Amino acid sequence: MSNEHGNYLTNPKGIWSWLTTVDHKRIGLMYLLFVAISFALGGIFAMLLRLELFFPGQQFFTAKEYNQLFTLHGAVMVFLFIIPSIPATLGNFFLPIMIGAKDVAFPKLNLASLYIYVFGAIFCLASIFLGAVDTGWTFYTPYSTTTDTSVVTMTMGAFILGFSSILTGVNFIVTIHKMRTKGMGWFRMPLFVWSLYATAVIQVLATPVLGITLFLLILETTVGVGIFDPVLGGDPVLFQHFFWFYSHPAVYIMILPAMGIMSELVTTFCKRNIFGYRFVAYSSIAIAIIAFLVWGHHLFVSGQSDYAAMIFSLLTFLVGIPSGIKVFNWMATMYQGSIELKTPFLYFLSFIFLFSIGGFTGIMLASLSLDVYFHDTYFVVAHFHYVMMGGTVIAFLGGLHYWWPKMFGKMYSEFWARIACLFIFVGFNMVFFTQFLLGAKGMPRRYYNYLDQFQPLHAFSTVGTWVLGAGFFIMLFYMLHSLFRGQRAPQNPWGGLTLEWQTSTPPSVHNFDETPIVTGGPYDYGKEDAHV
Amino acid sequence: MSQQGQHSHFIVPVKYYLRTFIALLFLTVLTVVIAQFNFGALNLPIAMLVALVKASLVLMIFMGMRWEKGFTFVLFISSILFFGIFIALIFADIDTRKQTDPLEAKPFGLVSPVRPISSGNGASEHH
Amino acid sequence: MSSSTEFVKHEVAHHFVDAEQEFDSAKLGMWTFLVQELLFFSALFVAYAIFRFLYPEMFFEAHKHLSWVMGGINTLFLITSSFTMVMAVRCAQTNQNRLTIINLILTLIFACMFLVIKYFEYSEKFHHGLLPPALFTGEGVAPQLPIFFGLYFAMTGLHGLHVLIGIGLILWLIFRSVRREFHADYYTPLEMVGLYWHFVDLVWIFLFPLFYLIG
Repeated sequence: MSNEHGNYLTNPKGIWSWLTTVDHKRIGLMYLLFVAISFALGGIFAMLLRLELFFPGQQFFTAKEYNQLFTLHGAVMVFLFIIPSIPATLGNFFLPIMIGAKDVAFPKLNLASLYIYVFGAIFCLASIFLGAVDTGWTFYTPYSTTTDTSVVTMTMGAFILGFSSILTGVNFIVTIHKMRTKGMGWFRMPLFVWSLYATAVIQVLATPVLGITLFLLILETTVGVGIFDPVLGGDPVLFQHFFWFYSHPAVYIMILPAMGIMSELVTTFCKRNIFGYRFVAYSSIAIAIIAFLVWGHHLFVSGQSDYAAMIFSLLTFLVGIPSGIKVFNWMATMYQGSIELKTPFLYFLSFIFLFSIGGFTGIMLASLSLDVYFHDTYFVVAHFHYVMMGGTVIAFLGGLHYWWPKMFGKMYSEFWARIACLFIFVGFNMVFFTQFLLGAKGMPRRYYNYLDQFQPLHAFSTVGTWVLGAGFFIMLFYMLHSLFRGQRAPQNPWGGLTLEWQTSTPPSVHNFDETPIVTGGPYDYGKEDAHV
Repeated sequence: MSQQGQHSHFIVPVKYYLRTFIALLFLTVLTVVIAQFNFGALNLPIAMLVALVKASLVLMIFMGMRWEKGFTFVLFISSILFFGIFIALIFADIDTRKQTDPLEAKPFGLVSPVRPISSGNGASEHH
Repeated sequence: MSSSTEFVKHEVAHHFVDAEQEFDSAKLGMWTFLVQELLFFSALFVAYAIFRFLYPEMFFEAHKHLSWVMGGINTLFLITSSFTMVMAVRCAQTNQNRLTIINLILTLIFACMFLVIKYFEYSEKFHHGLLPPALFTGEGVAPQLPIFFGLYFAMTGLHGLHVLIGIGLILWLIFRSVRREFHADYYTPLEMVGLYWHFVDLVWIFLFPLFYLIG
């Protein structure tokens, strides 16, 4: 564990050295900080929303304030939290280490995308004070071009954040292609890297379309372009097409890295080689490609033509195949493994459970006839929270607990971590499973008021947010405790085989003291001289 | 990864660049001349064909795609492919907006509730 | 012309194994960025296609307000500037620093001429009120005419912005060439800006017939 340059956390010292760093590990940590703050902000919005819905009728917020709150919840969670969440934090930190590189291909660009992110975030936050947007995070025209709230500031923020995401994607693609160490063939890469690669492809191919769409929206609200304005012969549905051409692939930007983390967790904590490595790797790429073919399922009741709706419905079902391959392969990997129920693995199990529910209800919503009924109800809300929170956030937490010792060189309290995981799992299901029931009974989304008969379910869901919130609070405390008082972490606390566990804890400035040479697959558990 | 410096890069002979340049100038004049005649429905395809040839020349010679490694080509082609998906699936909607499923249209005399966007109000009165 | 010893030596960044890896990475990065650019423009082209499909007569009427002569001259300018750009890169590859600088300056001049003509075109449109919908005061038969000019200004405006950024980049290249930083062993920035510049040319190659030559 000799550190030629010392560990990256303390060398060099000083706040300025952090702000100007080009070290991917430090940039990852700074992202982690911002992303955590955004998550807390979005979470507070969500809890306020649920509080309002405890009883029918107006409690704390007017209808407009409620609209602004759910818009901010959505926009902050999507643009500021979940899109950068895994790739920009854990991805940034571990991608170069996992492929044995000293850094990403363009370290300065990496820092630039962090600052672009901060710059965009400032716009988004400024919009809260300039008359918070009340359009929903999707900014559908024609409402978004006529409302008096600060749509331009918010979309400007999202536009800028998009470039941060694109540049990260460019960086990752080049890093994976050009920076792999000797012996690190494509099929020796950890599956997390594969998933980041697929994510980066979507980031590069889809995000610019969001950029141009928001650019057109800004033009439309200022000087007009006419293409979204029905009065001039334009088509408001076209905005939805443009928007979802990005935003549907974007949900795969959110879930793919999560799936990558799952592959890491299941192998390490079962001490088994992944079942069907190539299938899991290729299914990431397949998801990335299919992602672009399905956006029209958001437009089933928007006035899209019947034929287009049928095509999109059919194509949407295809997503189930690669997703299913992944889940089955993880299950098969667990078979006969020596399973350790450590906290990260508890998150893995939660993910499997929640993501499966999210996935199956996704198939329901892809069916044209069912969707006409479920569209814009709580059923949809519950579905995407099961995928986005039950999938991505849970995986993010799993990854965070898995790599925390490596990142900070400190262990956290296993006991409290398990308690927090339990709170989050139970709280989450209380909040969102209830919403499946509400949706199936016909409760529409985005209303601050509702019929009396829904009250018990709404109240139960709100209580769930408190349990969920308590889980996160416990996590905050033991994580902070770990940072300042935690036990020193060993180099390889879980017995992982991928390269990040072979370097010192925390890693040295240039990741490895000696450039590693790879001689085997990433998950050769049970083989004698596995790796390096 | 070879250990050589950039000396090893292939330097494209000037004649390639010069010929490409002349071809591009010629094609620009050609497309303007063609545009003066009316070929009816073929106007757009012809103009696009010439533009496509010009674009390919720029891509292949000026941007050096001809001498690139495989992946760059795959990358670029796939981006064009996704552009194709984008336009094709949107047209799947726009082009069939006015139609109602014949199974429903016949017995019930249904027409699509969606107003085709081409029948928008006049802009002249708007201003 | 001059031996490469007079050039500024390039240091390979610490995280690369060698100059080859650094160059390849930069190039792949640039291509990936251009792919992003292509999709950035794609939505505009899709919008164009849809509205041309819906309102062909309007597009025919609208294009008469644009001067194909000006558009044509601009096409020639951009193509020529692309040619001088590749020549600049090639001269750096063969250590002809003076010729690199001359070619870059020529590229700069053509790029500026492009914008000058664009300026004349725009001011003429402003004069006749042929502007995006909110500002539109022009006269025309087709009621959807403002959409054409909305698209025209969005697409050529965005392209113009790219030209402007390109001019900035070329100025930076000239500055660095004068300091003799580019030579056979290191010309990465030249090559990258070159790729970007050809892409800008590429977009215009499509914009020209789509807006100016609707037969």
